[in-house]
Amino acid sequence: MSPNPPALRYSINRRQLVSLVIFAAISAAVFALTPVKTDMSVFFARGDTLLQRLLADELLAGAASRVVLIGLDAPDTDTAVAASRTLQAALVDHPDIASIRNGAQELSDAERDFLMRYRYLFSTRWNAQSFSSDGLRAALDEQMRKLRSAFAPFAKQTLAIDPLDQFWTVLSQEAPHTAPTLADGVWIDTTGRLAPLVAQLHAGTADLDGQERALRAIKTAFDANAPASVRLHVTGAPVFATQSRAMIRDEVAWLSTLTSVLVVGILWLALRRKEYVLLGSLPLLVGVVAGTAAVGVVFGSVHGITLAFGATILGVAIDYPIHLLAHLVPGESAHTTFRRLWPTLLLICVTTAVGYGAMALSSFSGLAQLGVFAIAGLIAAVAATGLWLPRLLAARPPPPIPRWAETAPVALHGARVFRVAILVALIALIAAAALPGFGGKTRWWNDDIQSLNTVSSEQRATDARLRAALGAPSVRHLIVVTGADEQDALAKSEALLPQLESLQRDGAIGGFDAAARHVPSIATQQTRQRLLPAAEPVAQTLAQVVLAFSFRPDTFTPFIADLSNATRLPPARAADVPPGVMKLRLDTLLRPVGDRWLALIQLQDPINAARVAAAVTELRRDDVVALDLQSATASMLGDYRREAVRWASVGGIVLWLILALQLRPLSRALFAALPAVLAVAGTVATLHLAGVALTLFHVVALLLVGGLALDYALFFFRTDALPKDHGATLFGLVVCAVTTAAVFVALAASAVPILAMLGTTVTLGIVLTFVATLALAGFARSAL
Amino acid sequence: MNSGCLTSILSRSKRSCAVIGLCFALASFGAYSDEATRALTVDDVLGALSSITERRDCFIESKHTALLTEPLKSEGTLEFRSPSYIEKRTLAPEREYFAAESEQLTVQDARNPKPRMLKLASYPPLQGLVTAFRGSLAGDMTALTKFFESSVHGKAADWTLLLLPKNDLKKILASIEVAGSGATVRSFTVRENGGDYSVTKIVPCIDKSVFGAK
Repeated sequence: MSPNPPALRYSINRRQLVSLVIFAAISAAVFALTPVKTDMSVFFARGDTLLQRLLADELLAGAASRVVLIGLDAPDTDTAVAASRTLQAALVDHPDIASIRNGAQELSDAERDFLMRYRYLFSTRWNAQSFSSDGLRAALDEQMRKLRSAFAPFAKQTLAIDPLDQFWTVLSQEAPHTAPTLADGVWIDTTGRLAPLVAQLHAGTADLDGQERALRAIKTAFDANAPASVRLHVTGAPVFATQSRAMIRDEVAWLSTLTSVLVVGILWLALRRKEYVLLGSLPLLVGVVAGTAAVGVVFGSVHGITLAFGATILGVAIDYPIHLLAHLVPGESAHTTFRRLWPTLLLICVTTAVGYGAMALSSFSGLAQLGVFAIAGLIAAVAATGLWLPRLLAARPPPPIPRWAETAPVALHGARVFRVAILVALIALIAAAALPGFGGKTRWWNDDIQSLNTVSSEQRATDARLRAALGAPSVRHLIVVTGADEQDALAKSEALLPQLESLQRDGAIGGFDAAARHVPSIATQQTRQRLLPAAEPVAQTLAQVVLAFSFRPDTFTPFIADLSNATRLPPARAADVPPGVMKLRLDTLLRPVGDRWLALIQLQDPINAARVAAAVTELRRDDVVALDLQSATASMLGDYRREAVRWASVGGIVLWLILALQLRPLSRALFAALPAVLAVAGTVATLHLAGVALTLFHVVALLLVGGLALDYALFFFRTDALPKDHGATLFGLVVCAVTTAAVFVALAASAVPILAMLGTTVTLGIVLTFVATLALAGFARSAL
Repeated sequence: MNSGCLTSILSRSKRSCAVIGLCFALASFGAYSDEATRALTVDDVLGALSSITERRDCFIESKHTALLTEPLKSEGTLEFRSPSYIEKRTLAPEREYFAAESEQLTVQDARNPKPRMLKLASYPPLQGLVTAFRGSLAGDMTALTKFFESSVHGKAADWTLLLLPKNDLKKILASIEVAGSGATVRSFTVRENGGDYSVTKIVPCIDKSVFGAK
């Protein structure tokens, strides 16, 4: 083996060198200028409907996307409580953490004062009768009873100003029903060994670096302070988002290294010349740069998954130089060889580009990015193969065609029984999957976004455990009320409170939280205010009533004074709530989206989704929607998937029409499409029989398989081939198939579900394609 | 003397009463007189208290508050079972049932006849009070230390256990004084920061007349 460095150096003239340098500079600029994103936003359509916008908003930027749940697992309550206090104290002033609560932080004094001031306007439990002499007598009687009871310390705090107990009513409206119990002022779960904390970060999903800093701070604070017996659990959207980014980053890094090594290794084994390996990789590199640049220009940024996915799809671009190299003939210039192959190469490129072109039209930006990436990349790669390679190759000796490549076609042609057996087996496989008896138990489609998630089931279990311990609202179910403005949305959600309470009584929901529960609408507050009696007559009635009790005569002076204040109070808006826990809740539950206002009603587990949906449907209002985030994302993915199938089918048909124009007669075009049909159907059948329900990403992978199968068939069934080309064609195809298969086998090993799906499907597809093409090729030669 | 104590235990095994406490005090008299010069410690008092695992007595409580012109009086029974059950059943002037078994609180009264189950930990002031009452009756140093600094004054036959609250409990409670003799508790005095206070006297349930007081 003598690689020939001087020859290589000699063969590159100055112009070519300049063009290579310019290419390198352009590549560097493209990668420097195109931001790479790794968040989930690529999975969401830039919403047309309010609901789509809300969905994207809720998942990407909503309060939930900034909340981290922390759990401290300790051998006993005291250790858990101490660890919780220390961690809270260590993180409370961290610049990346907006707030961290462990139960110790209750309503602030300002919030309590606010609720005390507005108690008559906010409380649902008083009427005009409450201020009559009967009402007051009953109230004082109750206060005496409380003073005698074990709960006297609580009663005494507000007795003088609030003998009607309206402040306690408002407080209990404010407090979540399922708040965890307290041990020494710190939240503790029912086992007494898990102390949950809630941290809200400043950074949303758009700022994963900020989220990562905050999460690192939590870990560092824990490591520095907690005893060895305590274990830390951290969960929530920021954890999932940053982990998924880190995972995709790592995977893309090692997968691209591994696949590059594999491809270079295989090329080296097959072509035996260093410069061929280098030249062979060039069109692929050009393709990746062009694809990234195109996506960057069209979309403004490129998603990490698009880059990983796209680069592997573009892997087929390595086939172009392989075909060219394999078909080189001694004494014939590379230009001549390329001109001979040109129609076929162009056809391959156009057909594949058409296939992916369908995806570029998708409303799912992830697919659209991939489509644009593939089209631009393929065109650039074939252009590089045609315009660059022949010059660089100059008059280079062709790589040796191994003996097996020359003899195999003849042997294969003879092995008729073997070929028939393979075809029968393939058709039997497809038929078996289509029969209900075999594959009937497996669903055909899976649109659950969880199956694409990099979050492990163990992490999801921790998440559920912490959410249960905190009584946190369901991350899946909520009711959305829309209104023209803040008060409109608030009033509409207020009108739903009776229904929600009855749902809770009937056990259809574990509980709920709504903005109207914290701050009623202005109209409601005004109605209540009008019911308030003047202070003077109440003072006179009270003076009579109090004589029957042993209260000191001036005890209730604050009550009377405050009553006259309450009648003059301007009704409170959400903006009037002082900063604190209540404000944070309100900001989540009531906010503007575009030119509308949303009032969210959060629900707590256990939730009977069907009954909630039925209750909402019964209202017959289009401004109240029961939203199930999981089925909403599933139906969204389902829409994308159906769209992808539709576009892929259109692409497939267009692809075949182009083929039919090129390959005549029609029977030849039909025959050339057979391996693709068999390979795709065989892959689907195998996956189905293996119990895999297909996702959107399988559809993309199948499109790739179909495209590859057509490429192979085109080469095999070429009419303009020289006699000696048969060996070269088989050799080229084997090298192509082996490199492609090697790349996708590596992908199948990925821990990122999307990449693993792609890897498995394409590997399977390539094997079946190759088998089907070889089996049919013999018939093609004899038949046509 | 010993036989008297024994008959008392045998005949009313479910109940403990002042007689048992007296027996105990007398039985230990020798030991105390030997160490007459040594000051009484918290451990001495709690040790004596912990020897009785079941108590059922009557209480007479009077609460003094600045809100009222006269003290609030109530009566009922106070029951304790080692290690963590305490039950305060108010019989007059109005029935109220208040029981704590470890961390679980059960309350029931005339207005809310359905028993309510609450977590003691969610009501810190109550948790402090329950711990003071239950911890003293049980002689449970560990429980008391969590919420209070304890000290003891007086002699074995007439001691006062002073509990000073720690942490957040300080915001409401000023002190709790438990007075007793040997293994018997005679009264609890709870002083709040505002000057309000309550005295709970523990008496044997023999004199039924206490129920007719009001």
